[in-house]
Amino acid sequence: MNFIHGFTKTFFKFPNLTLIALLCLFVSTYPVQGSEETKHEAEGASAAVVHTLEHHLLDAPDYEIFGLHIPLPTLHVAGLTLQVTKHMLMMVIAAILLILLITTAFRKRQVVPHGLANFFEVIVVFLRDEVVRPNMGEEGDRFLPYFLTLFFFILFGNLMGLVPWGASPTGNINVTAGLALLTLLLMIVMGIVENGPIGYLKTFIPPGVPVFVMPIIIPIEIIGLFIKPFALTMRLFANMLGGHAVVAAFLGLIVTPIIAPLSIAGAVAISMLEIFVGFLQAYIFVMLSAVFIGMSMHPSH
Amino acid sequence: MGLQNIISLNPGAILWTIITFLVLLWILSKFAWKPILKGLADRENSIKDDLETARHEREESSVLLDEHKQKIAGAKKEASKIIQEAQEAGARMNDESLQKTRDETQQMIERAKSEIGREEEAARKRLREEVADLTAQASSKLLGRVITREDHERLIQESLGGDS
Repeated sequence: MNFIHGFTKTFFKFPNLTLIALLCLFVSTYPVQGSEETKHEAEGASAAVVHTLEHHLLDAPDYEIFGLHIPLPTLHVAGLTLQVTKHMLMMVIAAILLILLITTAFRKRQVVPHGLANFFEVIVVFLRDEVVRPNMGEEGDRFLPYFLTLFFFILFGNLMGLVPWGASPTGNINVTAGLALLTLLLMIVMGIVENGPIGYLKTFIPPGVPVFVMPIIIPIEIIGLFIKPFALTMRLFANMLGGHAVVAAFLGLIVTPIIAPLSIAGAVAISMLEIFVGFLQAYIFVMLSAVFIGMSMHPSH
Repeated sequence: MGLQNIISLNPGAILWTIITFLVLLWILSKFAWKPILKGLADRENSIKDDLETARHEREESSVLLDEHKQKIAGAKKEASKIIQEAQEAGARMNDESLQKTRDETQQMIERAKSEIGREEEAARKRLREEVADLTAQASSKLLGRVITREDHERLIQESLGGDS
């Protein structure tokens, strides 16, 4: 009774600290179970860590919750095998969550936004005034829906990895590659639409370059076109993967409950950093997409 | 699946991503971005309009204020003029009435003086007549004969040494 009394007293005095302590207690039981499981499957601690990392970072054709493996369906469309994986599922959940949140926030039209609507509006205004317009001018407003969707899709994808039983679809190279491909497509299409097919090809020849350097410059320019989306792909993918790897590594360090508080503290700190990185990487992806598309539309800039 | 597969591309997953993204783009464009961006533009325009209107009204009101200031200044001037005039008129009237009173008093005094003079003359005349009568009576008693008034007069004149 004395303990319970002391606990409630502490809880009302420092609710945050108490919750974190509880969380530590709760989470610290998890890797111990994991390591027990892996004892049967693999030998040694390194194998356990690899298993944990694989479990946390890799895509899977099934979804695991409470030790239950729920198989996901495989679709065959036009000769392509579309395997629904954990990351694909998370991506769809993130998209649905995004739709629900935004439509709920803006359900009723209000002159002065507050609450969630304010949060979304701040970001929308920021992306419009600080990202799209400076890089593409007023005509970039046409692409606002694309950039806004891109930002929130990546943001929600990033944050999905911080939700219990969630995973980051943006930690999957296929997802980031898909998004970067769309940006590449927009770069090429808008470059051709704005400058004409021949005008667009001319943008690969930089002005004021001597003829004998051309054989080197032109391939570099063409490779540059594909390096841009490749850089987008790798940056987002590696950032997300790295963050989750560090969190998983921190938790994987727990072999006895004594180390748990330290590991949990590290994991909590990295998770907080991950929230920031989630916003930052979404911003960087959208920012660079706007810069690249704007550059291919107006090469003289 | 091992960790080495982490950077292997899978066309199916890429297609999945693109499809999901495009569907999301379509839905959000229709139900979220269009109304949000429209609302933003509307609000910006309304704020711009409000500012413009406010500026216009401020200019108008400053013009009105100037006008009113001028009017008030004019009214003040007029009021002070009226007051001055009234004061002057009052002072003048005061002077006039004083002068009039003084004049009237003077006239009354004059009238009273002349009245007094007249009364005095009349009294003197009556007295003279009385004295003459009494003198006549006394003289007649003394002389033993009746002296008429004419005699008396003559006697007086003689006594006074005058011939006329």
